[in-house]
Amino acid sequence: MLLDAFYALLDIWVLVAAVTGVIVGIIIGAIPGLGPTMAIALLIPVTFSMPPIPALILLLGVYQGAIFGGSISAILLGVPGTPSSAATVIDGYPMARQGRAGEALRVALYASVFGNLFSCVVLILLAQPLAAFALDFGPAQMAALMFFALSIIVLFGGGSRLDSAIMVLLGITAGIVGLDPIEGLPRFTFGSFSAEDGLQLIPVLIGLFAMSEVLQQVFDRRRGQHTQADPVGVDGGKVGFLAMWRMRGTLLLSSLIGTFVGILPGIGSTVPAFVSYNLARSRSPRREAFGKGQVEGVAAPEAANNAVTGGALVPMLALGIPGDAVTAVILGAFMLQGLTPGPFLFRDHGVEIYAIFQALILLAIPCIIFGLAMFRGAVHVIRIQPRHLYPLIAILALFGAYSVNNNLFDVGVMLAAGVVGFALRRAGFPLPPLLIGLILGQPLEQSLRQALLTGGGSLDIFIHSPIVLSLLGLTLLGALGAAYQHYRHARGSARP
Amino acid sequence: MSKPSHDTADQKRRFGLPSLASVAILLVALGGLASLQAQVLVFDFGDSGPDARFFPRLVLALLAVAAALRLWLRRAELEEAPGAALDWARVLLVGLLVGGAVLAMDALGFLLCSAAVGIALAWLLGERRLALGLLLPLAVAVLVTLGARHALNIPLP
Repeated sequence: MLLDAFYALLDIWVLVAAVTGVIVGIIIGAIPGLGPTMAIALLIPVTFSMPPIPALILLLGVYQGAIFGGSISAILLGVPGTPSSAATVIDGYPMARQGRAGEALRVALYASVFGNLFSCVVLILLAQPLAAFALDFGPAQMAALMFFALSIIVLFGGGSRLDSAIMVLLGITAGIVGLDPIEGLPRFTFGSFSAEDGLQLIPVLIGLFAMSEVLQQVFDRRRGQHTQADPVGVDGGKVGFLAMWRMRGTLLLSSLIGTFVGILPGIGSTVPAFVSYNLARSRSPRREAFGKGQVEGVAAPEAANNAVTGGALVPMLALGIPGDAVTAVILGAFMLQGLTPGPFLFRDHGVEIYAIFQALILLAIPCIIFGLAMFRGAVHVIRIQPRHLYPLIAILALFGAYSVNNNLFDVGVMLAAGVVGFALRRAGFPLPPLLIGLILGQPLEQSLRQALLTGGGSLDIFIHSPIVLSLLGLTLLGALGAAYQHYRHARGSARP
Repeated sequence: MSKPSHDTADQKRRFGLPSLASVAILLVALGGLASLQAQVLVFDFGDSGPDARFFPRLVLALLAVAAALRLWLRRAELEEAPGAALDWARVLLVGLLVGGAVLAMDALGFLLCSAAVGIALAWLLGERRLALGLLLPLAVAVLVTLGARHALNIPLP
């Protein structure tokens, strides 16, 4: 199968897709305010007519490229291009101010590629065994697993837990609109035939992450003013193998942190980036130099935030559970290409999946080539004004939403999701839990009701399953851990 | 340089946007519960297990409780003011503009409607130059339309 998968990659369109994805991703990631979520959501409709392997490689290339791309504006502007590159600013920008921008960008690039490769290897080793284990899951086990995933997102996703819970429930509520998954009867369609298909994932994604950002820009408009500082120029600083080898401990630990935190749903890539940065600083004999242009202060967060990409794909591919907004969008792309993530994915589409795994590793090559080539050009990219960029995004959003089903109802859904997303963001509510609730809501209901129907309405089917009890036990442990965390934080705040 | 259009947006108040959003969510949940009987039909085939109303009722009830809890727990907190009326008016205008474009798209076509949205957005975001404010969105709309029709075989209106 590995050989068949490799042969499937020997197609010029795969190469074109990989290169295009990486370049687009680096550009998108470098522009503050955009991000891989929006880029992938807008590109999904473009991939409808493509075969699955190049389509998904294009989108995964965007994902990988964007995570590295965020470090470009972090280093040159002192503004993270993506939230996950916030930790890179701490030492990257001082390095640029010292005339070492080229060195910082190269270290960021090589660390990113290392993190990616590490997490891809873990993905290949873990995903199929996890999927094989989950093949034995019945509806009760799947319901417990999804409940566990949603609970972890609420408890550890960051920010207010109550707000995250409200967003998850709101997402699940939105998923109820449409046909009942068991009986096929319309629910909350208000007589609309178009609404019987439910709220389609792609228009909602585009609305939540693209249109809401357009509205945010309109709200925050400054008249013709580009408020960012001028980016620091890029010098020709070189970084050799020995310099990276000296940081091997940092790179390895950061990649481990990123990969295994990425596997947990809801945490995202920002937390492991900061955790890795702090760990690198605490381990370093030159910890007082951190924050003033220390090269390990760039390598650690970049390895970690890129390692999250492979880790987050483990539960997404093996169990069909997205861990954050980006993997939720990627899950939508897989489903649209007929590769439904979950326990049956490897059994039914093994060749495609292993081709994608191999491509994820080979994407390191265009990442390095185009990353190095685009450093100087990136200075111009990050100067693009919002008043030029966001009208284009709005046009792409209209197209993207329409192209899902060639239906104007979906464009209306996109607009509504954009307005709701904008209002919720202004109110301080997080959007990723809403999206994950929308994706997992219907499968959760289906599994729960199937389990109860199978058990004749009794809860015994849950109580007599060791897997269900283990998952519920883990959920309870998570809740206790979160409560303890809250108690310690409250005590710390109460101390004078 | 014009001042950003905030009014007393930097002042905090007891009932700001987060509370407003929580009230809206609470109302949605209660409205859903109230209309559940009418909006979700159930036919009893003798199955012993949850019907089509079970899960919506559970989720909407939890949502109502969570929203009410949030309103109660944060009742004494000061929140950010919603922001300047002018800023919200701009957002409303964009919403109406895009909504109008969607409604008119069947009659006027994707190209015209999307170009209008792009041009209006560029103007609202502060672009006043003809080339970038008018021609750039128009060019993108043309490219997207042609690309969709000829490269992707998507029959845009």
